[in-house]
Amino acid sequence: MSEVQDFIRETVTENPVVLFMKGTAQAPQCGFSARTVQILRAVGLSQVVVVNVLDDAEVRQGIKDFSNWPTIPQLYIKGEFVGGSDIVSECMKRRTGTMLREAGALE
Amino acid sequence: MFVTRCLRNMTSRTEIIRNLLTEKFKPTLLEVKCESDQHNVPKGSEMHFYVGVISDEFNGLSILQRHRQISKLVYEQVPGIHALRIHAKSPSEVSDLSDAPDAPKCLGGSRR
Repeated sequence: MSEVQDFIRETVTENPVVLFMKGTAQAPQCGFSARTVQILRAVGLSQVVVVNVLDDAEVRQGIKDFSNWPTIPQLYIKGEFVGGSDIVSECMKRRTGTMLREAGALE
Repeated sequence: MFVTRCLRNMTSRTEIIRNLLTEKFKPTLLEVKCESDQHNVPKGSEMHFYVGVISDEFNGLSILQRHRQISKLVYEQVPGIHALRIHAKSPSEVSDLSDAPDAPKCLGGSRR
């Protein structure tokens, strides 16, 4: 396994909520990423680790290989791939909201 | 004056995606729309799509399982797609696609 895959695995296992996105939470550079950030904010998360894939082409490709999912953004909760912006939009009010509480990420 | 004619059958990607989804999922309702005109790409690009699918094939499948099936099919058969918005429901859940979300506003992407 490469160094990039190790980095990704460590990041998602050591942090309860991780979002791989384009841009930063303060300055998203893609509408789908922005929508996902907006939802996570609305749910009231205290701690989200954000990885800006535009900063690192290897991570941008690496996370797609790691998740076996072709697009960005990608949300991980407690080490498990939740989905992209469509899934986060739909699930956030239901099951995923509960998952976040359990991950201890909600204030 | 020269007139260029294209002799090959230039099926749009929208049609290709529609045919793929119809064959695999036999949907009761299907919407396929190209949304590249809403994004920071040259006019006429066919890179961003929305698909809304209502099908009995989704019964018992989680949302992620549904999205993976659709995503895998489209990305493998239609190279060059950049974004795919998916709304996948079973007939027992919805009767139409009116609750599908709209596309988020493009913020320019990596070319910004």
